Amino acid sequence: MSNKKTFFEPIIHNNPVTIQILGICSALAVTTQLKPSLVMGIAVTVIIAMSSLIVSLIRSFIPKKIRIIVEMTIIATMVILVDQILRAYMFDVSKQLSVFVGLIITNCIVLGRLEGFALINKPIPSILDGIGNGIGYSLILVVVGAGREILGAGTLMGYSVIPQSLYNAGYENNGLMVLAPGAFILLGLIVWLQRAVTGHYEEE
Amino acid sequence: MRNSNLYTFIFISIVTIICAGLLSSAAFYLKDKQQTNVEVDMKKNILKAVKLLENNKMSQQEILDLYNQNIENYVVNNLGEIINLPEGILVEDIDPEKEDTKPESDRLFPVYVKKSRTVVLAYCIPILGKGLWSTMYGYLALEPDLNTILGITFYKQAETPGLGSEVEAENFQNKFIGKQIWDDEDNLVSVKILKLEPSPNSPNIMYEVAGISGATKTSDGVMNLLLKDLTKYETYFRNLRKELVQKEEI
Amino acid sequence: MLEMLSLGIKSVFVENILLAYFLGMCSFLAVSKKVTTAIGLGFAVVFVMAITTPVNWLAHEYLLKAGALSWLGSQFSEVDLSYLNYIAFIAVIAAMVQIAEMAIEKISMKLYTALGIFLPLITVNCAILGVSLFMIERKYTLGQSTVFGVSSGIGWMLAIIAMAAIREKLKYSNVPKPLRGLGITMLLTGLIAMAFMTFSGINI
Repeated sequence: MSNKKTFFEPIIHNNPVTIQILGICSALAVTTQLKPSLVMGIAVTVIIAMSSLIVSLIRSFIPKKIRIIVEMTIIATMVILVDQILRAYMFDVSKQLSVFVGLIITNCIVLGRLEGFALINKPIPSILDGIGNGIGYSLILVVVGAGREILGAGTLMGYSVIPQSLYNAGYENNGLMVLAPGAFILLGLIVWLQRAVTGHYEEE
Repeated sequence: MRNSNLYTFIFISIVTIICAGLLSSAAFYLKDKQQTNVEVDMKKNILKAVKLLENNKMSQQEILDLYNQNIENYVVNNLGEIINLPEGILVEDIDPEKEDTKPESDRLFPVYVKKSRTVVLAYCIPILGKGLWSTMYGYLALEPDLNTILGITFYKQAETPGLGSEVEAENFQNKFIGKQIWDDEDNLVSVKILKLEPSPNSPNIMYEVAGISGATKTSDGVMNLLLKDLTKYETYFRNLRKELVQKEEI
Repeated sequence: MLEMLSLGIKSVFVENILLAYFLGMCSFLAVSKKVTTAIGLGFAVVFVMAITTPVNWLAHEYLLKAGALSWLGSQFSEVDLSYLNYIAFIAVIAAMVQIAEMAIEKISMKLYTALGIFLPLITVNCAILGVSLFMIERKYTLGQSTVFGVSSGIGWMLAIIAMAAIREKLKYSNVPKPLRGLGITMLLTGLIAMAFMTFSGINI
């Protein structure tokens, strides 16, 4: 597989969330608004790229029996390290991120890509695969986050976007969108749309 | 070779040592800087609660200067008496969370006072308690009548992003401004958090605010922690309020 | 005793880790196609939770939290290793999962192949790390933590079995092609989540 394909495929055609079914928990938990979705997307992309690189570098030394423990140790170390550095030098960003630290460690996209790609591929493609998957994941997060914030709270990045005249005409924010069922339904609809477009069908 | 137990053991030991080394050295070298950040953040939030912080773009040094010029602090015990701290311990070092685990008579409660020369402009106390997922930390500032809320801030929490985490948002915190914590019969009622906007005709409108929609547990948490922490200072505040009334009568 | 029972019932039904807190979604969505596989994975999760929760409690209490090392001598009473919380918890979980993986491979090869990549992914099942973090946050005792861990596992198992049963029946419905699989499952989970929201008012 060419490097270009490795990078671009996970963004749409083999999207980690909608096709590989990975990283759903965090996709639900953080997407009530656009801003946390963005922060989470960037953080996960950085962590996947870094852990992919390290695992790929030491891939021929890892004993198969304990590979998961090794992978998890690397992921957790990376996440805590990034968190510690941010806490010292970018305190405001770290305050935003602190909520997500646990969610990043348990984000199955990271482990999924290490298991599925970095463990059997060279460092350069592994980084590209990591970044590609990170972007694919961020894309879904941003779409769901923006959708839920607009429909649920009538705002985007905290600024109100729905004109007052619409409220005067009787429009109301849909509170369900802010709650988890709203996330499920919105994500389900996105999966529907995306599969209708790309033609990736799942036979039951 | 790669499957032998000895190799596995050596490999995992090396990984563990490297990771542990990295993390410990990061924690060790960055500790001072992190602590300064936390200290500045705490002072910044006290300033914010007492409405001294005009913008967010102040440097760390400016925040510390502003704090030192305007804020005095001391601790009280559960009988409402002001206590002198032993040498070397600052009021800022008192961790309200640790105090909660001590026996009641040993607990110390920090009070931050905004003063202009000798005139008290505001009282500020730390508040903390559980929401849905996490412990929320913040400050509550009262006007000199010790009844009207001047400001409330939350600076550390790990509630659901976008829902419970709205406790950090200004439009939620601003709802508390001007609300009162004592009723007409001088009972400490704190502030009640409702699911919906309180109706303008409600007789208790002075003691009610609307919660965060979709985050009932977090809102309940805020309500409970306010009552819990105000109760700690009840005796002290009651005494101060009596003095206030006496002064007025004179 | 009564308190333990109520904690157990609460974590199975009222505060179901999957349907009320939305933890452990990835494996829930991916492995809920057949009831038999769902039962297998369900038991694996209960097993891993039942062991990791008390082990993590002990690790936190006697090794990691601020002042936990004071049993070594007074000079250690200031040591705070809580920044290692995540990595220690995840290491315990990964080790337990690996043991479970080996056990299942020995006991039932069929189940082992059916679970495929999702067995290692239990490690990143956010529900398991979530339970460990909750028990620290809520300051449970060792006994409470164990009950909480086991009953959260049972709650998760119930939810995935229910979903698998629905999806088996769903085979006879004419679902639009792009919606099959993940799409319809997301929409269904949204509906189940809405139904479970009614539990949230119950106080036991």
